[in-house]
Amino acid sequence: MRSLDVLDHVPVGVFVLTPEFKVSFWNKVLEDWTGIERGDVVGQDVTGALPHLREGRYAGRLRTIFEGGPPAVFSAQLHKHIVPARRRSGEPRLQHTTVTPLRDEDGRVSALFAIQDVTELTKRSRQYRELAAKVQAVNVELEGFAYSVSHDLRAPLRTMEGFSVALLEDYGEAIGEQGRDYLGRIIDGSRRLDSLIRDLLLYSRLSRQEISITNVPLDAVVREVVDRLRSYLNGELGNVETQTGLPHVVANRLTLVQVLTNLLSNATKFMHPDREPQIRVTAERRDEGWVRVWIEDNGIGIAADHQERIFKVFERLHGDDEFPGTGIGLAIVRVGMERLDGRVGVESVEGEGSRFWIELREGTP
Amino acid sequence: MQKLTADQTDGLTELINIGVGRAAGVLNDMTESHVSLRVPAITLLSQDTIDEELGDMSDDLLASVQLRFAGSFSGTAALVFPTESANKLVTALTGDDEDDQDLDEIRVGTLNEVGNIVVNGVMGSISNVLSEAIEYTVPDYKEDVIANLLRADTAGAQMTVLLAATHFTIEELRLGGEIILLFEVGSFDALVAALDQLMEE
Ligand SMILES: Nc1ncnc2c1ncn2[C@@H]1O[C@H](COP(=O)(O)OP(=O)(O)O)[C@@H](O)[C@H]1O
Ligand SMILES: [Mg+2]
Repeated sequence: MRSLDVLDHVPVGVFVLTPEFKVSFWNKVLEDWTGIERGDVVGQDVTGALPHLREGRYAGRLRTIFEGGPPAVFSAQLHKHIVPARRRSGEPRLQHTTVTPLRDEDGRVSALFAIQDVTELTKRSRQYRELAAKVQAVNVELEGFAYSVSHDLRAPLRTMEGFSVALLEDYGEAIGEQGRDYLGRIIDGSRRLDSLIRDLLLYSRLSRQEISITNVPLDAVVREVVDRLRSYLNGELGNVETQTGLPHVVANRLTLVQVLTNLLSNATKFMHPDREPQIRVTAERRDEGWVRVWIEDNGIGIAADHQERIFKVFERLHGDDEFPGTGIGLAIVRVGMERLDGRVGVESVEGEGSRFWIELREGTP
Repeated sequence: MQKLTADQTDGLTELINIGVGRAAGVLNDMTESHVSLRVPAITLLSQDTIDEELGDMSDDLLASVQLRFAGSFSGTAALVFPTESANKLVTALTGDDEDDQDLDEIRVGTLNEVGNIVVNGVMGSISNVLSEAIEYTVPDYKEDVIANLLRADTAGAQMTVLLAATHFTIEELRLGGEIILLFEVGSFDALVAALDQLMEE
């Protein structure tokens, strides 16, 4: 089979077995891997070099090949080796082999073995696996830590706030104007710290919790979020326009509510002082079954330099007196969208407004 | 949509069971664990009804090993699992002790072999009743949702789809998968005709 010589130049071990179990071709790669010279094996019965191929578990499947049947795969995990091959370091070469029928001019069918060396691949995926396990363990620990810390921090904080309020109420007269001002600041500070901790808790819970993914009607969820926000802001939500007839998406309802709430509350918060706030929620179908939801405002906008970092925990572009907040809202959005196997992004021109978007797979109604 | 008589359905189910039985034999020869494979029932579908029929699987990410066959008898044969079951299967067969693993390249290689053995078993018993030679491609591993797994190869042409719910039992472990056979126009009729003839004899 001279035409097979080209197979000396592919990085794959190749040999051919006749129905009589004689080796009829042995490529250069195999000479290198096994130390068996072509001349010593070609024309010989396979029993010499590869006796195991005569065993039932190989012979049976090879028979199918000689009958012209479908190709056979011999994987690295289920087979020690097809050819006895070691690397220079002495470690065995792990092999993934595909055997296909090879017909010659007379219609006789031989078996062509194509052997990939998967030693490196195996090593690499083992390393990757170990690394992934480590990262996973660290993550679990960190999240558990964040969770218990936030829990434990809130109790003494509530004590501080509670007694400050009591102090103000019961002894407010006695401590005078300035004393009341100081107390007011202590109370504000504790409340602020409490909302920081609460948001952190939400963030860590969102990344830990098991969530179930279902079909969620976007229409109803957007309406729910807008209504709730409106009542929370005592009706001062400004002009929110929502598209009707929004599609279903594949998501977890609570997580989606959380994500949209955070985006919408930002849209209402970062208003431009010189104009009436205008907010729009719309959706469009993207290619390959994705739905993109836009949350647009005409607020202060975000400079291009900052558009990435605002999605990280505690990243804020303004002081608390200018725009109150914890800097966790968008981090929750990002993690939420990760959990939903979705995407998130923003387009914005500073001073003109922002267009945040999320993408989810379209669901069925 | 084509209807089968009860006899024809029985005959086909039997044929597929012979195939998976042989596959189980091969798997038992190769691994330490005891494997049994059974196909209790088959379902015949047209392409439009696949989504309905596989409704409960339709959003899941599935692992599939596909083999295409061509010639006068042509189509695709596939073994399809939810990825989680696929992972459990590999763990059970290899005796790998870490349970919670990704389907990495190496495990995908193993799955490819298992799918190859099962699909070859089935194609072996099908080709036994047909007198034609069948040409095969090398098996291919893919992960996707069911619609995309089936759609890729079947654009345009109306196919007959045969679903064979497959029960794997490996020691204590029970896993379900599907053998899916897609037949191009005419090929399924040829198979049924050959089966009819066999049953008459
Ligand atoms: N719609 C928006 N318009 C302008 N800036 C925004 C908008 N949404 C978010 N930002 C910027 O991103 C920062 C981070 O947002 P977020 O994580 O929600 O924190 P917070 O709202 O608590 O400040 C905000 O402080 C703000 O500077
Ligand atoms: Mg916010």
